Amino acid sequence: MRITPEYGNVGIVLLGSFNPPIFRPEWFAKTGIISDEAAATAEIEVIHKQISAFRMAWASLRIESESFVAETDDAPYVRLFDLIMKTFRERLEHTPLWAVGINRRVHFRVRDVKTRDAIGKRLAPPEAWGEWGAMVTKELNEQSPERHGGMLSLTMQQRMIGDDRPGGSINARIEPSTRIPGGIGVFMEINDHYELPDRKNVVGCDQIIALLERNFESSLKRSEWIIDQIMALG
Amino acid sequence: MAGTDAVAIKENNIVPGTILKALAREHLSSIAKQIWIPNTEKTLGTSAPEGLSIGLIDHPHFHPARLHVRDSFVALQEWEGTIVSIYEDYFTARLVDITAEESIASEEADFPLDDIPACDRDLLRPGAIFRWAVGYRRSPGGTNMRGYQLAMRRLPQWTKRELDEAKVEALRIAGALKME
Repeated sequence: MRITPEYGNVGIVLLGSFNPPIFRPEWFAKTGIISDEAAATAEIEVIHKQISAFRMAWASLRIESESFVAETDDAPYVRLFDLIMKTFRERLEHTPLWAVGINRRVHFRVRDVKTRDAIGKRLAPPEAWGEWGAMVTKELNEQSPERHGGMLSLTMQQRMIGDDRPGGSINARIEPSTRIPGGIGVFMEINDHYELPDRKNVVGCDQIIALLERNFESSLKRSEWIIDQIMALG
Repeated sequence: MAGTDAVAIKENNIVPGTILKALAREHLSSIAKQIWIPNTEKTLGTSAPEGLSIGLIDHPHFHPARLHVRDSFVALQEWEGTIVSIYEDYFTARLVDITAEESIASEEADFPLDDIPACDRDLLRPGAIFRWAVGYRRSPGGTNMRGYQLAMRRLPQWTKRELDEAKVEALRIAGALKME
């Protein structure tokens, strides 16, 4: 990426059928998926029959009856991939999984407010909104923080059916950053979503885990390439 | 209040306000013993059952959500390493530059054993794989600190199917080499 992000995050989301209370830090340690120390220092938010959520030093996990979400703010992101592979390929291979999302999020800094506005105007020109859009533009140009409007959130989607996956899409979202102060930050999230066509007849996790294995590294590279296109506007 | 007294009063259709209240309290108390709801102890004068699991409603205990933002380590360059040999206080590894999209090792380097997190030391052996990322850690306060992260990979074991497939592929390659 041409601008090194201020903050980066990667998440893997699995959709399927899960039994949340089994997912405890001790279980992950006992099965060798994480270290004993990682389990001992994990901060448990909740462990209940409907939800299990805890955070380790380098990752957080949240499991509900139909979703398994693993996230990390720390590179190398491949650790997250290893955790999922070891969990489902080695220990829970009979868990029915029907979709996986590989999510890449970044907050990056641009030169100034004007540059960030220029990106917003390029992606969503206020002129397209007629007379009201002209009012939005006027207030943008006055640069008064209290009256500063403009594009708040935009999602672009590429449908990916039959290409490198049976079904799914790539969804790129861009917003002003809430983590970088001073109105000079941009937030981007790329959701790379893969799904099986017939979720009711899914047996086990083989297909989804194979999709994840085949695509994890290339998905992150493609996401960074998409983010780079936007960085080039800055 | 005794249950029989309540019945006698009801038969005579005399239900003073205070008795009615007492009846209601008794009725609600019996319900509360089955379905324990927080704070009923105070309002209905009942005792909460020992342990939440006895109740019909199993209330989850939510810890307060953390509101603070965490550090983030952003990699500028990343290598995949394979440990070649281990010495008293360092180890040697072959490195593949992942950032440059290399697929074979082009460098070799020595790392102090102290670079491996204590929790990952049990994975240290020749052939073990790790990731080494050089980048910076950004604190929520906005400070950047250059550094690196070394993480041993916890890979799944080979399955029987994968081993069988590898054997078939090896035989195919061996066959092709003989042909040549």
